[in-house]
Amino acid sequence: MNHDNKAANNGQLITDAPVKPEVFVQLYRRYYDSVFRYCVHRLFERETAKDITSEVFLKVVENLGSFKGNERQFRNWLYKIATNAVNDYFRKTARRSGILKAVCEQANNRAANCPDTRDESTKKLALLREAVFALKPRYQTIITLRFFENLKLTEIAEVLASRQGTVRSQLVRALAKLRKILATEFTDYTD
Amino acid sequence: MNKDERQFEEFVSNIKFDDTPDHNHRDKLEQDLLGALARQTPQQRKNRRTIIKSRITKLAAAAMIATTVLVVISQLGGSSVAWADVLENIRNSKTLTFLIRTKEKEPPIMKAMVIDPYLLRFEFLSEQIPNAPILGGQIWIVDTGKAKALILNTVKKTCTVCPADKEMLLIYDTFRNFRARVDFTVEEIDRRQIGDKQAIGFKLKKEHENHEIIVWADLETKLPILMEETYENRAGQIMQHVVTDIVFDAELDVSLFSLKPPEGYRLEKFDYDTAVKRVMSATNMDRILKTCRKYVSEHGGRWPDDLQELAKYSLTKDILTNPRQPSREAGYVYLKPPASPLDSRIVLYEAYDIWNGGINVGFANYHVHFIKEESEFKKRLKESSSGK
Repeated sequence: MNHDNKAANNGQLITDAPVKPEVFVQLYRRYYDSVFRYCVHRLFERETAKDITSEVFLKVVENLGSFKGNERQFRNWLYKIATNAVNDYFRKTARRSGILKAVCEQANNRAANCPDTRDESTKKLALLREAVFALKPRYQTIITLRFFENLKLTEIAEVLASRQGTVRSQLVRALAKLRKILATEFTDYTD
Repeated sequence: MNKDERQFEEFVSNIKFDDTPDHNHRDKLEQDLLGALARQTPQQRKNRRTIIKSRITKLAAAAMIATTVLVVISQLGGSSVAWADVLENIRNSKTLTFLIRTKEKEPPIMKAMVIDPYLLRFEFLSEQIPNAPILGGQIWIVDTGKAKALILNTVKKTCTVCPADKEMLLIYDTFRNFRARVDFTVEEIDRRQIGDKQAIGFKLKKEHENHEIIVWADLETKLPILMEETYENRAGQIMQHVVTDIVFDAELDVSLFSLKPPEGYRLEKFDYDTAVKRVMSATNMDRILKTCRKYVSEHGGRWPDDLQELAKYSLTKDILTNPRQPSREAGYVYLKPPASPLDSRIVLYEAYDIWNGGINVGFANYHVHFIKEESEFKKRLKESSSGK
């Protein structure tokens, strides 16, 4: 997420957004892409990511008046809302394993039938999805925030309202599990 | 960065996600959000903040928050399987009832009932509700689906229909959907015997705030049976509520949640802002009178000469300011009674220039009542002065 606006850095945008629509729009446009991408990286699926992104920003509108903090905290707050919305989606659909299975099978079939140069990437994506979905939602969140959103451990800890040390150890466990799954499929991913 | 991190980073670096934002979606959502923002008028926002800050709804919120804490931190906690089990069981319940007490052995001050997915009923059972005696005898019925509430005054047999407070909706949403309250951390603490049940405790804590909730769950059913909430109120007092008699999937009659005014009740027009300020003022007066009682007990039955004498009891300026007339320096008129006053003697009332529908009046029995008619107030004031 960009931090190129001085006014935003001092929190003025956030203060003014609930009462000034033009400021709200500025804030929204600043963060829309990041929230959407985070949702795609968590869900591995665009259409649901759009729905969840809508849900996240509607919640922001509802609660922006009571939010207190600077821009960094605001960004982390967005990730927190998005994380809950995604986890909630997984829980509510109660079809997580079914969706996963269907999506992975579809992707694997596509990869198997695709002889061009993209097949390795497609296969990797399908495997990554399978591996990530095998993790607990909390670990999925940590992996996504760390490797796709490039957050520091301190920032992830803030999003998860946890300690940095806890996040660090959970990241290690998550990576170990991922390695175990991915190493069986890729020779370049070894112990 | 360790080996695992490097390896994983390398692995994902060549993967192409289809994550390019859809600008049509972005623009459409922008319009929707602006519409939602426009529907939130400044007055609504102001009211919401007032409600959240007021001690009255703090209590109501505390009660409801107590409900919601059953479910917070679902994603964040992860501290034990048992807590996850507790959360899962709560999620699966369709109805819920519980009692709120100030202490575990004290009589209940509120009864709450919830029917999934959108009906709430809160019955304020006692006049001894901390900091909010005016709620005694009230029943709040909230239809979150319709965003409406019916408030019944069972003593005066009056009722009002008003918009459901957003905080109620938010809390309810949290209760069902685990969404909003992510700012608590959870930790398993202890085990104890509660009645004939063995319970496991979880401490939920809000960082940087004096706010803590302990949930005791039955080890057998994995459902909460007792919750203790401690928080610091606006005046810096440490408040505590205990949630007991928690029953999941109780049989509840839907008619208890009807927004139709019951027979025998007079429907009154509801002015939200005025009502909130009136209650806040009554709450201030209740606090002043309680402080007087403390003073009296420490001074051989003698009342303070003026309210300034109560400063050493942490009676802050905001308590002495009437929210209905914040610009007035002396928000309340204090009348020092004799050492052994009659209970019905007026000792405190809201200062006013023009009579506007009534004022809150405090009596020597340490209670606060709202008097609507100026003639009645003047009559009682005269009687108080003459010592009748």
